Amino acid sequence: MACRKIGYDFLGIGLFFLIWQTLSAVTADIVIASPLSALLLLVQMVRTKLFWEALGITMARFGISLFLGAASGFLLGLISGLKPNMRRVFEPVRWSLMSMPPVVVVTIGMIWFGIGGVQTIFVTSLLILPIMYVNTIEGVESVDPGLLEMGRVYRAGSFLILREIYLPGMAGPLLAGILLSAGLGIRLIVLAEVLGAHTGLGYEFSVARMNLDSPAIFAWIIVCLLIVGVFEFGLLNPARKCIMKWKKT
Amino acid sequence: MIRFENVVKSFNGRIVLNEISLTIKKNEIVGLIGRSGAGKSTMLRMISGLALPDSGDVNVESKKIGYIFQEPYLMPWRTALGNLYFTLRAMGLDKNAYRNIAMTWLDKMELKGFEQYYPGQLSGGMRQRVAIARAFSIDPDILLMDEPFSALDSGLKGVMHSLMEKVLSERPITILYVSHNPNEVARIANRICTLTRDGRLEERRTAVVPCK
Repeated sequence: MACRKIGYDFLGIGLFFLIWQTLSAVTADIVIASPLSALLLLVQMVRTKLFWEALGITMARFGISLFLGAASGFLLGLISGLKPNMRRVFEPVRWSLMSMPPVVVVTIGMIWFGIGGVQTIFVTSLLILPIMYVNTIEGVESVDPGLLEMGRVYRAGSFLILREIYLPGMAGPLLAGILLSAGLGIRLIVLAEVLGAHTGLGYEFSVARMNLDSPAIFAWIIVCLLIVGVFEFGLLNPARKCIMKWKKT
Repeated sequence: MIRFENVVKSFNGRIVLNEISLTIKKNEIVGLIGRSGAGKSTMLRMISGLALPDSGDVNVESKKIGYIFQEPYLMPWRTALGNLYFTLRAMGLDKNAYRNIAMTWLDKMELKGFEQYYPGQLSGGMRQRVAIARAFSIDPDILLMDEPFSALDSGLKGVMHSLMEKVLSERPITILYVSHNPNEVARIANRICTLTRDGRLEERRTAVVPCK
């Protein structure tokens, strides 16, 4: 059964590369580089210091943004979930952040903070915030009210109820929120770096774009996919399995 | 001791509890019966502090209250033992004593060997027994029972009652036992009260000899 599942995984990856290869074959190299040329270039790139510097800078920005955005979204979501009146207060901000095109926020970030890392972190954490906010509210609402009553009957304090009932009960929506935030986060970081930074993975994208270096662009795309892949399959999924192990029973 | 004095409670303009007065003495077991929506559970919720009366007073002598709900309300992410730990921690009991107390009560509820099982791995009857063990583990002065066996089949109900009777014979507790089945309540109650359609309380003594 497990072998069959892995087989389907590989089938999906194979299909992805087949479509990519087909598209590159029917278009000019400058439009879509072939998977082989992108992978060969990537192998060359990973041997350079520049690659690791760019990756390191972007990862640091990604980590800080994800933490700031997710933590503040969680805190505000928790307040709004527990106090419905506060939800009404935050609603216009949530709506604005979710409706505003990211490029507009990047522009504002560039005006406020100039070109560089602060702007990318500001933009990314600000746009991650509403995702975690919405997921946290959904999590609070999904907690079994019977368990909360039980906690109150046995005179559990607020902290104990938060730790033992709310947080485990919210785990599903929270983990989904973190995953969505990570996926969006890497896209936003790259966007913000393309438009307003002199370092990082996004900046390398813009250099490759200026040079019409299609294999480099696609090589950097693979890097972006790998970052999210490592985060999702290497970190988040094992964490989810550990946290939600009771669900298997 | 529990005392209701002229308690009135209404929901959406409909009076559910109408000038209710009731005194439950220490270690007395009172059965409360009535149709669905009569306000039986509301009385339990008032005793436990989950609800307040519109007027009148509810006086409860002790804060050590065990509550057995209709549903077990176990945390699915905690084992049977973990669920008992939660209540013991919440009630501020000595941390070093958690394990012994929890194990003792799970054992009394014939759940030895299932301590590390998650609620999802237990049957409905076993989950309810964990909930009973949880209620008794805090050594309550008052036990509130809100149709605790209504979701169980008749065979299992008998087993649960026997277990309850065994526990109560060792440790008398003030109990308010809510059900809409008079026979079920009569099995352990000293006296039975009925909530009528107009929200009044009628009282009658049972012919059943209580287990204590």
